[in-house]
Amino acid sequence: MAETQKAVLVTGMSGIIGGVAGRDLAKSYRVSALNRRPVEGFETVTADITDLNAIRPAFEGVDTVVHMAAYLGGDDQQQLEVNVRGTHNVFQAARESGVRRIVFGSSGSTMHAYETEEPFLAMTEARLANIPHPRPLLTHLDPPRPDSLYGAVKLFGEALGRSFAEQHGISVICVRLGRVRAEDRPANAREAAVYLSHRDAAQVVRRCVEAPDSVKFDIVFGVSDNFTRFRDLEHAREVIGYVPEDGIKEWPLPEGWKAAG
Amino acid sequence: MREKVLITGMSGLIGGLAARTLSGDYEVSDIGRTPVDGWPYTVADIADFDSMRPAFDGVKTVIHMAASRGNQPFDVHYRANVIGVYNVLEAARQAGARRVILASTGAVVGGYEKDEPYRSMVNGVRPDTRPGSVKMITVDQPPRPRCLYAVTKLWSEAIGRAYSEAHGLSVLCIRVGKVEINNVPANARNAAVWCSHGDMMRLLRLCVAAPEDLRFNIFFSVSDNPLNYRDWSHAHDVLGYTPEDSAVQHGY
Repeated sequence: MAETQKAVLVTGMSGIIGGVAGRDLAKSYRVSALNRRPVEGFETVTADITDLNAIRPAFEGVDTVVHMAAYLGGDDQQQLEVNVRGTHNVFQAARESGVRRIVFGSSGSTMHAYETEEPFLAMTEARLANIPHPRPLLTHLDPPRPDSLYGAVKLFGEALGRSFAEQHGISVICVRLGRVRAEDRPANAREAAVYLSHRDAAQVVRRCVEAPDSVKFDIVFGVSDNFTRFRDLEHAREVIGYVPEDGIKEWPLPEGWKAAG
Repeated sequence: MREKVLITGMSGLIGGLAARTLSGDYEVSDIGRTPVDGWPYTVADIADFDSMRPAFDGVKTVIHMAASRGNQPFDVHYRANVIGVYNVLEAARQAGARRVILASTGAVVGGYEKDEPYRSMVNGVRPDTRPGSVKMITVDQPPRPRCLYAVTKLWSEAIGRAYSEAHGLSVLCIRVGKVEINNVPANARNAAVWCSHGDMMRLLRLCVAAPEDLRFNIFFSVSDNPLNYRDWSHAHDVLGYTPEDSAVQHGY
């Protein structure tokens, strides 16, 4: 069995989502890490994704790349270096090694400006009386509306993924991840709307890895089934079979609330 | 006093046309690596923020045409089209400019040309459907870039959107069709997506003059070609753009 296990490379495994997803994938696949520092318990190529030559060895023999490494800080130049150049390097190295699929960790921030207006504003504030029925949902087909450099660099990654799929036939699935926190609970009403539990984060990434080869390119939202959710999950269910197990059901959270899983 | 318009890439075809078209109504200046005779200019590399920032003082509208095109190594596109557009937007924001017009490209939807009926159309073959029944590709449809150049242009649209949403800067993106030096479509493929000098300048002029509250938008610049598949009715609805030229004038 060990020889036939697919090799999955996870970038950014020292981050929360990369770690949660990588450890879950390791139950079924041969998981290795590409990281700036070693990831305990995993074979790691220690390199910075801004250095194409240094990261190439990590991709040898890899079937699927899960690209979660990202810079989330406030330095604009670093945003461009890590999230634009670095993402290009990861895609380029993957293509050179004949990788079959890339799962790209995109972000709900690609759509964040919708939240400045009703009805989505009401949903981020859990103002139930102001939330229309049926509940309005943003889909992967709605025009992106980033309002930060981070949202824009994630759209670069999605566009790059599309071009690699169109031009090189490599399968790319972009998952616009919701809010994942180390303590696995939302800190405010807005986070409750876009909450993604650790268990659901692991599931959505796994579904992307396991989706049929016929998925050449797609964009899905990765979010738990929260009661104030405004990101569509129907498309993720259709394309990759993701059905969240978790979801915030009320806000504020009741006394003693604990994340499931 | 006439409003100041700063053009990047004036030494290029469209930048040069823009300077001549707009200079009657606006105070036009140039920023680029090589000065263009006859215009006030700043010699600067748009990838070098400190060298280019001063040229933006007092400018109302920036027309950003400078870019690297075609098949180039990543670093070339990264400097010119990734860092470059960031610098242009950031300099415009810092200088208090009202509007930035970004040159994007129709190549961001080039992937549709793999599918019918678009594939036939760009090969000069009329699609096997009733006239007028071809579904135009609109700016709201998912982009389908096929090359790094087109990806960097989608990046410019994305970061333009972010600056518009976050800072109130008006950002208008033009997905430029095929503009030829001699103003004649070069072949059947180019005839589908051809944009005459006149139509290009009509659209650009409308973008410069558009109301201040037009915060963000994307338009295809294309002439009214018989085999065109890029929707210009959106530019008509928003700006009043109506192309006056067509590849049919050149036998296509």
